[in-house]
Order: sequence, then C-alpha cells, then structure tokens
Amino acid sequence: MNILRKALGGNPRRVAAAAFGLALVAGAVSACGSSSSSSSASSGFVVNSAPSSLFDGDELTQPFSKPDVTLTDSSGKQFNLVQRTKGKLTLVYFGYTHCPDVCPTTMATLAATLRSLTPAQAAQIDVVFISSDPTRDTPTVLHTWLGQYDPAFIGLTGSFTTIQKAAGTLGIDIEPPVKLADGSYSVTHGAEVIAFDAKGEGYLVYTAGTTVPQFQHDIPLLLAGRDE
Amino acid sequence: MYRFTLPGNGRDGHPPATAPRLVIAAGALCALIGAAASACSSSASRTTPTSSPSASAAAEAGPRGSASVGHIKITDAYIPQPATPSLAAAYFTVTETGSQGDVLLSATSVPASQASLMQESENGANAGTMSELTGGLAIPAEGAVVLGPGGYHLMLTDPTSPLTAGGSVALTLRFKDAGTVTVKVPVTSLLSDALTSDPSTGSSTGSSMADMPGM
Repeated sequence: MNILRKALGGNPRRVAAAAFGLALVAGAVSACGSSSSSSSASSGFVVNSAPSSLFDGDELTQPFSKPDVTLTDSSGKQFNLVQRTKGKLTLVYFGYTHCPDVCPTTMATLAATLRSLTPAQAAQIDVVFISSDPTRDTPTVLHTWLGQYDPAFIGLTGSFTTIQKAAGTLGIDIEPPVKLADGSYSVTHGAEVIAFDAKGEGYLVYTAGTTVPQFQHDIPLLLAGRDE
Repeated sequence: MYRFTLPGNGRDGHPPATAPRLVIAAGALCALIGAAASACSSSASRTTPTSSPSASAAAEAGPRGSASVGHIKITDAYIPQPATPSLAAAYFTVTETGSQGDVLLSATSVPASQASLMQESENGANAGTMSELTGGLAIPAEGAVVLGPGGYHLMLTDPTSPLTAGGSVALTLRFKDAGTVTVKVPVTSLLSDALTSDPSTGSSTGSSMADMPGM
C-alpha cells in the first residue's frame, strides 16, 4: 500500500480506489485516480472509493482524527476544534478569503446545502473554515467574509505553522503564502472538505466540485451514523 | 473547470497539461471494465440519483450574458457577487465554431478592474493554488473552453465600483484571431456559484438560489 500511496501522490484515500482498480486494469486506473486527485483543477471528479459505497464523497479506508488544534475564531477568542465541535458533524475546509474561485464556490455550496436541510439537521452540523492565509485573514476579515455565506460558519485563524500542521494531519499540504513581484499573493488552499462524524472520525472527503445534491445525499447518512 | 468539447471526445474536466491523455485513458478504462467504470463514468458524467432534479432546475439558473464575434461565441457569462469586494471571478464559456482555433489573450472591464486570466491547479497533496495564465487561453478548433468554478476564471481585481448582485460588468475580451467582443456580464447572487449539478455540463454550473429547495 505504501507504494501505491506514493504513486498516487501521497493521497491515502486514493489507495482503496486504486487497489480496486489496479486489480483490473493497471494503466487506466492511474489515469482515473490522477484526474480525481487533481480535484482543484478538474473539479468535476469524484471517484467513489468503491462502487458499493453508500456515499457520494470519497470514503477513506483509514479515517482521520479531528485535529486537536487551538486557533482563534472570528470573534477573536480561542477555539479548540475538538472540544468546540464535539458531537457535531463537522465539515472542515482550508481556504482563504482572497480567493476568487474555489474557496467561495466551496462555501457557497456548503451554505446552499445547509439552507436546504431542516433546522434540526443543520443544528447538528458545524462548518469550519480554517484560513490558509492567516496573516491577512484576521478574525474580523473572516467574520465579514464567512458571515455572507452563513453567520453560523466557524472561521479560524492563527499561526500558519499551527494551521499547516493541522492540515498535514489530514493529508493536506498547504504552503505559506508567497508575495509575488507584482504585489499579489500566491496562496494554497485545500482541495477538499473533510467530514468528521459526531464521533470525530473523518472518513469522508469531498473534493472541489462536489455539488449541493451530493452533500444533500450524504449528510443524512452521516448524521445517522456510519454503520446504519 | 477546463474541458474541450471536441467531437468524439469526453467532456470531462481535466488539468490542461494532461487533458488529452486523461480523456483517452479514462475512456479506455470505462470501456474495459464495467464495474469499475461506474466509478469512472460517474465522475465523468457526474450522474447521481439525487442530482437529476437539481440539474434540470439549474438549467433555469440566474441571468447569463452572451455575445459573439466572428467564429467565437461567448455564453453563460456571469460573475457571482464576491464575498471579498476587491476580488471577483468572471465565468463564461468560449466556443470556437471555426476550424482554426483561437486564443483568448486579454480582457478589460467596465467598471475598470485588473482583469487576469487565472487557472486553478493542484499544488501538493490535496491542495491547490491559483496562477496566472501566461500566453492566453487556447480555444480549440470547433471546441469550447469553459471558465467555471474550480478551473479557469477571469479574475477581476480592485473593481472601481462594487460588484453587487443585480448589476453587471461590461467585459471586453480580446482574441488573437477573432478580435474583440464585449459581453454584458450579470453579477449574480453570492451563493450563485454553489455547485448544484455536474460542473461538466457547463451551463448548469451554479444557479440562482431560487432553484434550491428551501431557498
């Protein structure tokens, strides 16, 4: 599995898909896997890790643990991710507000999804936007930006190193923002939303390009619990 | 989103550098193995049982701009109201009806802004970044390129007046061969770039919230 993982760019969730496919057709599946893992560019790809999956999201064979990280929320207060989102279905995304495309699309998609749920369902869900550009994304900036999508969305900022480390535990490589010669910035964002169930297990990922109907499909299943 | 709609080709979104290879390879996979192909074809056509109703609803999405010049057609143009006022993304589809292909070189806007052709690309594991397209955006002969969420977009930086839903932007696009075309691009709601259906179907990417249950 390690070889597979390496071949797929260190992307653990593709391993199951690739292992399944490799048994069938080695060459072709690498194309399929590589297109799905380049989700930020292609965005049209979600490959279920197995045809039998209940979920529209990519199901991991090894779930991630919710990062035990303390950051600053959009009101400027300390926020421990594990403690404060305990018992909630938690949808975590790493992005930045000076992002014209993928980050707004992801937040709009999640906001539209939550609006379509019953209030009781929505109350069981936390959407957490963790800044990959924390210097520019102050609590105030996050508050204003996220509030336009949904005032209940949680925005977190803090030291880049802390955020990078938390992202790293979820298999997401973010790099420090780089200021370019023309004064603009090059910033990395996560290419997926990770869903942690009420027990804090993150076993589903949603690549950029996941649609509202796909979230609508999976959320009741996630709220019901994995084994039901 | 990036895709060619060349005849006989897939309409998948792919990273540009490897697009032709991936289309062929994905097609081969789907042809070869029925069971596994369901994973592959669902990613290609993105059909899920629950997406169908919204897909049809999304066809009646918010306002879209269109225009044409020579053999170039611009359709499905819109700008979701930006959450960061200094930074908006314009989305549209460029269709080349001619047989020679063309290149989208640059753009200007009214209200004025710095208009840059940008591309989303993978950058490390499960992460992405945005970079400027240098040399313009090639439009294949008898094909189309979609600028849409997650792929190419025209970034409008520091517009001289706020871009708010209900307003519009006059976007002038300059093509290498076809010349310039101005399209009136409506600014749609903040949530209009929520993905309601298969991004690879282009026109139904993003829709007005009126289409959403409970909106």
